[in-house]
Amino acid sequence: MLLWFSVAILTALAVLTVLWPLSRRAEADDDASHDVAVYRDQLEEVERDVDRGLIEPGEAEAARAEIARRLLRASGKAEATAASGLTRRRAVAVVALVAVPAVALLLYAGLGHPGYPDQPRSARLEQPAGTGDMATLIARVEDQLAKDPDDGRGWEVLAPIYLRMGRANDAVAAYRNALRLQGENAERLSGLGESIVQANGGVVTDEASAAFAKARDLDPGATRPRFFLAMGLSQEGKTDEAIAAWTDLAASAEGGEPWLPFARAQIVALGGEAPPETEPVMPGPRRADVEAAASMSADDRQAMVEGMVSQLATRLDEEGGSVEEWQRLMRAYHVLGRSDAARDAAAKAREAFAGDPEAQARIASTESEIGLNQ
Amino acid sequence: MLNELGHYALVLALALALVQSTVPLAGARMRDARIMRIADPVAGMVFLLVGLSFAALMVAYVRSDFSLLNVFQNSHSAKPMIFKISGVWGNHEGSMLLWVLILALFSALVAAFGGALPRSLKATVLSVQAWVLVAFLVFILATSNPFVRLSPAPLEGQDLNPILQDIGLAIHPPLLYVGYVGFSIAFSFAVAALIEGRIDAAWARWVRPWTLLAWLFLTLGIAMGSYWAYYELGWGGWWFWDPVENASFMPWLAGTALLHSAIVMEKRDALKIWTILLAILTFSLSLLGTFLVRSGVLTSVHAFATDPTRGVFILGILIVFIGGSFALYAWRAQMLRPGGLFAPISREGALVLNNLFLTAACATVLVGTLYPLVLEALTGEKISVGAPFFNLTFGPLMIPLLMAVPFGPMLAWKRGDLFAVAQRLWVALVAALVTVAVVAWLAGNTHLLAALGIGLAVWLMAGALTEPLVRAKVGREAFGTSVRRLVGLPRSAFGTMLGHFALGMTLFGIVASSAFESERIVVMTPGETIEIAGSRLTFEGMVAEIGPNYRQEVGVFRSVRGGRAAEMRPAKRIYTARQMPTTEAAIRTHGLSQLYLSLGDAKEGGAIVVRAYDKPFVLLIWLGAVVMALGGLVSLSDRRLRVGAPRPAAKRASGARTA
Repeated sequence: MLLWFSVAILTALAVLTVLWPLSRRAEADDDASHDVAVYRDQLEEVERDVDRGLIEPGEAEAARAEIARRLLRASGKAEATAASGLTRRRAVAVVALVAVPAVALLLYAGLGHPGYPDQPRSARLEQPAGTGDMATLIARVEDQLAKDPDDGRGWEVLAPIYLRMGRANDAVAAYRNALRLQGENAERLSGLGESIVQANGGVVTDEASAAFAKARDLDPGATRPRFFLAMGLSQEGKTDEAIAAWTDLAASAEGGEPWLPFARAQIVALGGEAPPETEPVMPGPRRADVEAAASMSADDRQAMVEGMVSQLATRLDEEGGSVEEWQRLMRAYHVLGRSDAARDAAAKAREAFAGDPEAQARIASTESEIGLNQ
Repeated sequence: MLNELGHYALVLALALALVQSTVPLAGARMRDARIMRIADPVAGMVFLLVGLSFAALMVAYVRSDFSLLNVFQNSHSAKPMIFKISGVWGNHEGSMLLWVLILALFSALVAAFGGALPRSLKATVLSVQAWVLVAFLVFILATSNPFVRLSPAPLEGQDLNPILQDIGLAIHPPLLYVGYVGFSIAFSFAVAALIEGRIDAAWARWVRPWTLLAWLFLTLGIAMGSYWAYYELGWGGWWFWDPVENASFMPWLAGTALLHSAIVMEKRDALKIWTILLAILTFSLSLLGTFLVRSGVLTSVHAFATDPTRGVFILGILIVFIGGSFALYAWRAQMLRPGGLFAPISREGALVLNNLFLTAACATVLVGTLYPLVLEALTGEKISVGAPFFNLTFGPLMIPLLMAVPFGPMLAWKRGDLFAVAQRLWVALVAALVTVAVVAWLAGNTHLLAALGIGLAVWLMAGALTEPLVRAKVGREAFGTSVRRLVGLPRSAFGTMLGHFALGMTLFGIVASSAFESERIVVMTPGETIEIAGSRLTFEGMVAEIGPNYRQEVGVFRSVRGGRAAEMRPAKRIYTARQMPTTEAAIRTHGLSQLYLSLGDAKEGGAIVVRAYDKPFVLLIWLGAVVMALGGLVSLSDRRLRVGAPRPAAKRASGARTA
């Protein structure tokens, strides 16, 4: 309401600036008189210069003669301004009253979003606690931490959230702060390790290995550090040690763990012999896996999704797959917060199913479902 | 609401600018006083509307309102307030809005202070000014709208490019834009004169001060940009013949020629055609410069491909304005009555020579800037035209011009006596030759070119100082009389002196800092000490620090020079939001020289690559530009009318002179 009121005032002012001069009488004016005035001023200037001794009298005489010639030329022509025509004034008034508001409002109707309020950051953060989306909650904690960077609990809360959102570098920093302020434990150390792995595009670096190793020493039963340590060994090409680590990990499983198929696949890929299965290995998560995943801790789920997604992506890239699988990949990337990768996957899927309108529609619906096409 | 109101104000400004671009012009053709007169309030209102729009955008930046796409892409809530504000023009959309704001400001100024102008000239000028305004407003709204909304609004922005997070961004673009856009006034006056088919006496009185104003801001803007690049990029260079720099340098060269031409026109009613041509040329180059930088054409020709609408639009505006104004020039220029006659050797003749050299220099820069772009667009081949090209083309053009500079102001109008002028300049010449000899003796004959360059700089400075002294007849008349005459000299004479003197200062700085620079690139471990050009530099170690939106590794150095110690802290920063590294150089000034320190890569065991430079007299480069702008200001403050007094031919021939 206030917006439309202001828009009306601005428009009225704009129209008035055109109408106002039209309504006032104008005195007659001609251009030659301006020239004559300038040349008269110049003549006086010559006199002043002579008085100050800046130019010689002889030079002054020549200057006067030249200015006088210009003066004569200027007074010869006099073209007076014509009286203002009423019809013309009316035409201009109509332009001002109709065209200016019409052009402005039509353009604004096409470009503007009058119903969309301003969203200054501070006002959004001041909304009562408990309301607002995840992003608002994160921003609140961030602001709190900016004021009090030694609030270890704040970092502890934020770190896994960053990790899940794919803000790996922020997660690394947050875990470091949490470790510094709250001390070391297996949970924080493996969180740090995993953040480092994510920040390095899935490579288990020496720094990450060190963190995982420490975590394993503090809590030998924890799965996550062992999982990543095994992965690190695989990546380094230390085949025997990797097989041993994976086998050890698989042996400790109870059978329903979501990472188990991945571990088994690794053992096979490395040329080892997988321990007997307690349940058949499925390509990609089935409903049962997803349900299992839902009941897992956030960190384990993360580990599972990471492994699954990279496998799925590689397979789809190399061998292709069904629309459902592409959709699954897009959603998975979305969950990991890697929206660029999701967008990439969507593009590849469209390419793979070019000419198949039904598949295209399904890809599009997944895109809007995960908010890609904004 | 403010976002949307700002958007509406911008649209309304376009609607009103359309009126300004047509109605007063039609009124002027019909000689209808009331219709012509609407140009004044409308120009003022357009300025207020664009100002409101700009203010709304600025508020959105200050409040971190990420519901605007532009704010989201270029700001961050943790950014210090000064960079939130300067970030408004640290991106394409916002900087175009600033450009239009300054353009509207200049039309409003003409409307407000142009009372003495003939009415039809004023109406035509304001209409022409509005054409440019309309073109840019349409460009902004169609392709670069800063008020595009984002829903849902993110809570954090993507931050501004860290290199731009510097006080330089707050100062450099506004200065540069006032310069660029200020030349639009000269352009509008030139086009108006062509449309009217005649040049009023008031024309030059108006064009000169506006040109001077634009020129002095452009001078400061370029100098500021050069100093910013010098301390921010970490290589110690201050001019790279980079296309972006050339884009601002070309209008400066053409504008300098325009400035000198306008003086002749104001004083002697001559060089009209030159002045009109240069006015069109200067603003065309400003447009070209703005677009080369803003469109992304420069970083890569492919910017056209990534955003075809923007590129095509840009090309369209350039073709319409540059092509249109030159076509108008070709068609109407011969209608203008040629002004006063003059002999080849005269002040006017010297200024024509100056125009020729400056436009030729400008042409070489244009070729060096555009050739690689055109070549890449046509054949895909990438070449880079760098310092060697410009040293071979631009340099040789500048040397004769610089040698001629002291002669110009001492020549008489209409017909001058070169030999008499040369006699008066003998002191300056001796000073220059002595300098060459002393520098060559001190530096050894390996630096002969540098000695000649410094001699040329001294020649410029001494020659500039000679002129007012000669005019005051110092040494030829009683001391008291001379002082009175000196004080009575018009301020524009001191403006000329300062401008030409400053040219010598800048040249001195350029030659001395490049010829006598010391450079050391070494790996230093904590505790190690090196010597460079009389300074002892000790590396004390690295310290990690956290800034508001960055982390940095600071190298702590202790520099001792002449018994005085100071701490120097060059740093390597990582800006967290963009994960982008920057280098922060540390600079210690001693006299007019500087010790420049910048960090390279870290090595094993706390060692780090250190680049240290000692640049003698480097500050003179920018001080020269500041004094040059000061000269412009002094000249601008001279409100007198200017009349160039010619020496009477008959009396000179008979040798009779009244003393």
